[in-house]
Amino acid sequence: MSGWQILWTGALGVSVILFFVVEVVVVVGGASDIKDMLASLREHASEDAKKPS
Amino acid sequence: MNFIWIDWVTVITFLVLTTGVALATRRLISDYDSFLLAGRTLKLYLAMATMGATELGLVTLMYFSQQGYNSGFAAFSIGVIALIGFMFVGRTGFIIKGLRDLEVRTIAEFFGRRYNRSTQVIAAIITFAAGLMNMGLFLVLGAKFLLYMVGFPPDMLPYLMAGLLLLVLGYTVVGGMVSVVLTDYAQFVILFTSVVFTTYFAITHVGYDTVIDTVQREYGAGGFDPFISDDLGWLFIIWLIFGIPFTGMWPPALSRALSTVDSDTSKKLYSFVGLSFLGRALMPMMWGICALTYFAGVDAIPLPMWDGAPDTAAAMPAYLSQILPAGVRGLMVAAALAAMMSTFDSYLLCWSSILVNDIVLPLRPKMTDREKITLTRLAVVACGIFVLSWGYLYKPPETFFRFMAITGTMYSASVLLTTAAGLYWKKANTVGTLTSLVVAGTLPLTTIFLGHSDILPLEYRWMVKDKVVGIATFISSLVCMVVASLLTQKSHPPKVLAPREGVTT
Repeated sequence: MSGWQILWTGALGVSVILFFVVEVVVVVGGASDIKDMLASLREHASEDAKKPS
Repeated sequence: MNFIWIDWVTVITFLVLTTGVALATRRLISDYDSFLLAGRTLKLYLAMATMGATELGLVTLMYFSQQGYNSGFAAFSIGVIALIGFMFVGRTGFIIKGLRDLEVRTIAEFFGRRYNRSTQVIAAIITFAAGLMNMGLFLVLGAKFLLYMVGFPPDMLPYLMAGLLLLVLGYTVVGGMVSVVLTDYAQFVILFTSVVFTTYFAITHVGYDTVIDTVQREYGAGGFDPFISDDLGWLFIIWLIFGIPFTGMWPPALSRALSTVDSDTSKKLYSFVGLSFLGRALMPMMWGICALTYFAGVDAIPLPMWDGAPDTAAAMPAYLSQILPAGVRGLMVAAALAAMMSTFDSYLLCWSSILVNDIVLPLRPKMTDREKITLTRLAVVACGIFVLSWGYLYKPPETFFRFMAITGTMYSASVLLTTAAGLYWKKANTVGTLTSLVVAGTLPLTTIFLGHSDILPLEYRWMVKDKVVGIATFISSLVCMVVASLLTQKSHPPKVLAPREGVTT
């Protein structure tokens, strides 16, 4: 393999690992973020409903 | 037809669940901010999910795989440059921190506050035009993917395009950003998983050593070295390097940064999600390279044709349809639909919000939240119809990625470059900004409309090559900004933002 071939093979391997790590982190952390976002929007919507139109 | 029952069940289940979310979240939309920016309540991981899903569209898979097919491993340089760009923006907060601290909804709104309404409207028009043209290829590429993966006859293409548009319009119009964010999360999971699995199947089917040999045979050393590649070359790499400071700031991605709870979260968002951007480019490129290997082999089905020529954009889906096992093929199509929907809905919402916030609102400032939401929904539908027509009628030059890059430059070199000047250079004034916007907003049109026409004599055609025009656009925009601003400091003194409003004092 030439230098470029080794570089791109390594880059592909690193990209798969980083991609997988980001996925795991986001899936776990995102679940609790969704709960917080929905709670905040519900609160905001109920406050708006109480305001006189 | 390549699909069997288990593939159809997978795809239909996914579609029912996704569209159900849009209806379920409708009651949470109480005002314009909650419709457009999910009430600015996005925390880091959810922002990463929505940005990751938005920026990994079906169109991304298609244009990167086509680039891999056409350039071989040399195309990987594009992914590496994108990674460097994200790391730079994430570490420095370049532009995104300033805009988030100002709490603007769209980038053009910044122009209204830093300069004046005319500048805001012109910046918005350039952003809107570049964005719509860029998005114009989403439907046709998405429909082509489905066509070859499922095995529909080629004359179904326009019907598939219309069907995909209706699907996305449905839940974007109903739910706004809240439904977009929630579906993005689900789409992120299925999409990222499928991309990794598909890469495994794509490589193992043909064998990595065979892939290397095929690229060497088809493209020589230029299949690995981007600087001597016939398709890319020095000029192309320099053009991409010019765009590094503006990486990931296409308005739909930027809207994620503006939707986060604070500017530190915006910076972390770019640093973390940027790590996945190497894979976002390299893995689909690898599918394209594997497709090249497959179609160069003796046992392959013929490469699909389009308008009498080999359709390199169709190589990847045609290859995957032949090698993926039943069930995985359905999962891949569901993931591709997820990719298309998560990107397309965000882009539609983004361009529509620019139209309403930055073009209509400056003219009719007293609109109520209800009226703004209604107008944004109408704009979403109008943008969708334009995209359907443009995708069907326009034939892009060279590869699809190159078209995306030149429309991206039309926006980066004009709107982003002048935004950076407005945030970090005290002498930037309205005249310099307008000059730069107009020059950089129009130069790329020469490539888009003249690049492959016979209007220009042969000896002048190099002047409208995308690489030349891309570099010229960045340089001329910067020169116009600096020279015009310095020459008109007395007649048009720069407007100073109050310290509490922004970063300039």
